[in-house]
Amino acid sequence: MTLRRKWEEKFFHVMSGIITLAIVFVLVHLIWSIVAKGASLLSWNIITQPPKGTFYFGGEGGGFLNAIAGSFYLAIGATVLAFVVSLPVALFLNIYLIKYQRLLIGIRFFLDVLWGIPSIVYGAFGFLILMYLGYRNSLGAGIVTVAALISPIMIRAMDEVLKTIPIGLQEAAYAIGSTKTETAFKVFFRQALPGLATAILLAFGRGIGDAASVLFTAGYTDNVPTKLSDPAATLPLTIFYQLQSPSEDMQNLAYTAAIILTFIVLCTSITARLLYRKK
Amino acid sequence: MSSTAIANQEVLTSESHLQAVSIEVPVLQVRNLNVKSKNQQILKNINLKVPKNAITVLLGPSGCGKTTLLKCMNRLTDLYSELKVDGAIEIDGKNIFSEKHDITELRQKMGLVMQRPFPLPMSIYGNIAYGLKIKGVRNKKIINSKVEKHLREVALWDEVKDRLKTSAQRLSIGQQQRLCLARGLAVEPEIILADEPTSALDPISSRVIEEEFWRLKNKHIPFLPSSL
Repeated sequence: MTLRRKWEEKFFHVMSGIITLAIVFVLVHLIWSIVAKGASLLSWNIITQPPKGTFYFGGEGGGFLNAIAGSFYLAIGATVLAFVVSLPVALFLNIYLIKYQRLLIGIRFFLDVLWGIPSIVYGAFGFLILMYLGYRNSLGAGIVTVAALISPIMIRAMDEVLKTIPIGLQEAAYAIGSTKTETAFKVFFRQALPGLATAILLAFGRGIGDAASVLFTAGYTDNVPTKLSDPAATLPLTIFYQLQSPSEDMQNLAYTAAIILTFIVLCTSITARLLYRKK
Repeated sequence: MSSTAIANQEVLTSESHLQAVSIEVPVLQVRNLNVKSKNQQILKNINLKVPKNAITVLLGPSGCGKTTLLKCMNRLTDLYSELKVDGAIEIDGKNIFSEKHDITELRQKMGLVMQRPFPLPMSIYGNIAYGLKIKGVRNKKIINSKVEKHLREVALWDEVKDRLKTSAQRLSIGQQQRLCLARGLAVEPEIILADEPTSALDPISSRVIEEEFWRLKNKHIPFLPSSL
């Protein structure tokens, strides 16, 4: 090897090592800072009770149940709604449009653009529609907005899974006389099941962690929502509001909420990974 | 295009030979079939008559269009946008490319055994029952007996009878190929299109499949391309 190639090799080796370490360091530091600030306030009460009168003045009496329940209601509702939309679209792309490769490229590009739109834009869009219809901030409006936000993600994730199904399997299904619908739901759906579950969890993780899209649409409340027309609190917004408080105790509560949120998202990603590996 | 020429020539020879044995009523007739992709003519002016109750074999080097011809016959070419098909393929006197032709019915008439087996993502039992179910057979007893009958036909029954409910995708490749043949037979096709069905198999599985084709000769018309 010439000297130049040797140096080149060494340089990129060291460089990629340093960058990897830097990223791991940032991640560890991030988790460490939320744990350091928020862990002391973590208690059974904080995850099982909604806030009471004195909660916002020093962290006693009640907890984040309003936000935890709100986040789950919202993210689960949005995931179900997005699933109802995404599965047919993803199957449609891979079964009916398989002949039109150029159109497919266009649609995929369009979905990728939708994926890239900042969530605050979805929030503003949801808010506009809400105003137009004359509704208040509510769980239902939040669910619809978050569903719109995560649908492109779910569609593309499902699409990527369905794309890997060999054309031979599709031909085999047709050769026995399956219709396109039967091929879609009895063959493709089963074949892709683990990957589809991963896609759903990915979208759920994105939905539960998003603050901007629910800011104008779901609102905020100290109560656990009991119907779709109630406003709903969410963990990301809890963090947002608590951090704005001048009191340090209050700010630390934001970090406690961050721990809970991070834990939920982490569990979702790990489950998604495990499901995908099982395949 | 040399490969086209070979395909053309080869198909024409087979036709002249078939005419020599005098076909009164061909079960399947190909007329002036042309298949083009964007920058290549894959099949050129294919004319062919397939007799009843006989095994018809297409010979040719790989890449000459044998698989494409078979895919035309049950319209799997519909899946590929780049393929332009014109000409006619007639089964019982009806052109399969006409708009009116029911495509799922056509495909049920034509069993297809591919080069590589693709079991459906279901159990061994489910793979065979699937074809029956989409044909509208609901009676469990009938399904059970047909599953057993067709698995016996391809000599797979004894190997899998204790694990019918396990995934078909865990079988060995030879077993999968026999399962796919049984799956095709279960919908009771009139014609069997087999695309080098034994090329990926061990000698024993190959023999089982070939013997099965000989046995099927009187009931169905197997149609076997194999490479030269």
